[in-house]
Amino acid sequence: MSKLTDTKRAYDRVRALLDKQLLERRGDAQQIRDAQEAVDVAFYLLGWAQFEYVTRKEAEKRIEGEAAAKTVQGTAWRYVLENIKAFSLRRKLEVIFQADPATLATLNKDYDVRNEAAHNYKRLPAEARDVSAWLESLERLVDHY
Amino acid sequence: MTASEAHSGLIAPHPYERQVLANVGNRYVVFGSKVRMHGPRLLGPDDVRARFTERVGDETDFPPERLIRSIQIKDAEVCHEFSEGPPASNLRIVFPDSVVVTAAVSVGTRDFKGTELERCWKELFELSRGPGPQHEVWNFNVERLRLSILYFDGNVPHHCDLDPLYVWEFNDDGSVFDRTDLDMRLDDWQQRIAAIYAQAEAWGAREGLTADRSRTILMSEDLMQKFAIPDRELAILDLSRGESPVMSIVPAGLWVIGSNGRIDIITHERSAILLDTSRDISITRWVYIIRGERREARPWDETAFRDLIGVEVHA
Repeated sequence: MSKLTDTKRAYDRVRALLDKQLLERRGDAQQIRDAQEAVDVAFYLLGWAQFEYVTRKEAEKRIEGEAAAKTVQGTAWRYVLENIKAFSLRRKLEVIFQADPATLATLNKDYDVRNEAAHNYKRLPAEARDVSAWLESLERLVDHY
Repeated sequence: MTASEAHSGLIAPHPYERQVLANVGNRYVVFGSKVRMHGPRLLGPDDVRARFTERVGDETDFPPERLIRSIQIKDAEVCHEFSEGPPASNLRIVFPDSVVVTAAVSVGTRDFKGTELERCWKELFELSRGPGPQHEVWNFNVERLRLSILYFDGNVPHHCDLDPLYVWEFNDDGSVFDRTDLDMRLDDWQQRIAAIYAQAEAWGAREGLTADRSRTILMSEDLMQKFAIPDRELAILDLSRGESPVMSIVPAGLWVIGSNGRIDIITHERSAILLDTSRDISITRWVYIIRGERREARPWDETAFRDLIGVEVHA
């Protein structure tokens, strides 16, 4: 169990409070919707940051393992290890999910959403707004590391 | 007497009387005043002199020269010539009666900040006291689709914001995609929401629930902003038992990847996401997913409705 579980629980509670406010007409509906969107973005970014940290560590661990081999491939991996800081998160995701292209493609899309939200002040697209289920899916991925 | 008057004896049309056409990313935008001081006929696709065939990947990140070179002004001649100045300018505009205006054009994803405005006003003020044509500073905010024009008239600073009046894209076959197509989708979306509400009201009435559509939210999706479509007000459907709220149905978005619209359903116990999964927009196929659960989507019907409001459902 990672911090993602706590993040999901916190998100579910905040979301439920806002839903309750909307249902019980406690305040302006538009303001509550705007607050929900801000909460969605905030938890999406927090969840991704936590996932990114664990993923970086996992990728480095795997690269270290490969680099220990006394083979030609091992030499290549040692080169990767020496330049690990220059490797983008997408490359690290490839190290972990090279055998699972469907998950890799999904995570690349999630990363695009994260970039748009973090750098371009974009709201989450409607299809990405079930943040609770998304956090749970990240948790499941991390569990398999 | 202003600098422009001193130069030609005539004054340039006020920015609100102008129509400015420019290529913004993959779109063509006619900027002007919403109060329509610029005459009844709007510039449109047939007026474009330089059509760009190459598309840009990011509509807020493209070479500014692309936009500047594309600028056209209704009933005026635009020369795209760079002058180091002073004043530095990259447009020379000749209005009827040979009234000349020079403009320094910038392109960005935001409006001018305080310090930039301060610098502009200072420069414009000094220029307004000297000889030469009227000089203006233009800023295209490509994120918000707004053209700001600053200039000095005598001792009076003017700051005019021009709004997008008409936005379109050219399809690969040369046809035009504009807000007409989107307005149709939005009308259809409102009809589908109304149908969902009517259905839920009927189901709710059988359970003794009363309906209320007086609350609203604004629909303002990215695609609407991209084509300068005004926000639309959408009703929320509230179902109550007496004074106690039981369910709120809230539109969440039309342009959703993998579906033809999303509506959120909120109850005390659970919340659900309603998706129209029909591939053909002329028909609907609503399914729902309980939020936070990664279960397969199930058809939206009266049984699902009763289940969500907590009525015991018999198989």
